[in-house]
Amino acid sequence: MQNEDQEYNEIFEATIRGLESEIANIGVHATLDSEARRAYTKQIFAMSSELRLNASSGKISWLAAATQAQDNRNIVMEVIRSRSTPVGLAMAQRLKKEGKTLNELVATKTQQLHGRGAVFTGLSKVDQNKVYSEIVKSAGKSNPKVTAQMKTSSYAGRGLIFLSIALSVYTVATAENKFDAAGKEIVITGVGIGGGIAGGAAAGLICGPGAPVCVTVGAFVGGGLAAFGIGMIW
Amino acid sequence: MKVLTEQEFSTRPSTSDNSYILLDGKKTQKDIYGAYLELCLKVGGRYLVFMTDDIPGEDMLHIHLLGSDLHIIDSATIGGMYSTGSFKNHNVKGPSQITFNFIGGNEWRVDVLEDKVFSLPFISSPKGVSRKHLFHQYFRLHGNPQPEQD
Repeated sequence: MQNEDQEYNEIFEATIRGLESEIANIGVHATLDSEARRAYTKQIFAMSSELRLNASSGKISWLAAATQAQDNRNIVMEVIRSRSTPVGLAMAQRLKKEGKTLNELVATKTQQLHGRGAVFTGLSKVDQNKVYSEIVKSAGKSNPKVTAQMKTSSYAGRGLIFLSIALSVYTVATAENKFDAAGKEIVITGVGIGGGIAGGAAAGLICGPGAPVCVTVGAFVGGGLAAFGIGMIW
Repeated sequence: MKVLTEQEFSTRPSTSDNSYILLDGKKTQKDIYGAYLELCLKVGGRYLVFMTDDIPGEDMLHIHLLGSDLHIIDSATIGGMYSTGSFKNHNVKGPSQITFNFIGGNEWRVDVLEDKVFSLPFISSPKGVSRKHLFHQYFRLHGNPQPEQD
């Protein structure tokens, strides 16, 4: 009877630890994706500014700057996607891209600057360069709506990490063997986060690209199971 | 549905992500979300406006249905982070229907309704669409957007 009670207690403890580690898991996911977004916003702006400076000083032509801006922005986006969590990557891959080619951008910018009927080839060299300059400038822009959402997500993520730390500190402070409890908290939380990333990546492989709901469930289940498993073994 | 010319309906940026409306070349006090006017249609006495953000790397499409006095009746946005679209191939199909391409490798369709209909959040709209109103719609948005392939 006593053994049975102890077993139930262990399962209960491991479940609670697993749920606690989910707080850190969600917090780390939100924080990593927000940091990736911050880096993206910063890097494309810096890339665009540098190209505009190079073209203004005559180091490269405005056409070359516009072409490079398009290419470099795509490279930065791919790098940032690879730095995102599986959940962030799945969100980014949810919709197949249909971006404008450089020629389409030139036509759009020409009409934006000179009216609907304007044709690029009919513009003076100065006006053509102005069109290219606007393309370089817009390549440095990230969507403010998305950036604002990610900022909110960053605050929420940090809040959850703080809550997770606070819970761990409380658990250690009230434990009889503080050294053992501290080790257990660090390992369970760490394994929970690792399990979340691995679970999300595995779900991404199973469900295919662009399935954020499936990947989020995978990350949650992976993190919970990993933390629960370690909690039972400890 | 009638496609309006630039003289009849146009917009100019008022902030980085909003624009004010010009009717028959005259500035109005009405602002709508979006930086670049792709298309405007007259549907009965109402206006169906397609705006993009002018952010080539991460453009979203904002569809607004405006009343005759230009107040926003309903809005929807198509797009997502680290992805982009290009508004093209629009085709007026009837008095209240238009198709177009933007993102997701599929054709999108808008059906403008006579009156609002009940809708359920998240499941009443295709993937990649966010709407102003959660529980009712004045236009339906149809599409089957595809994800990116590795």
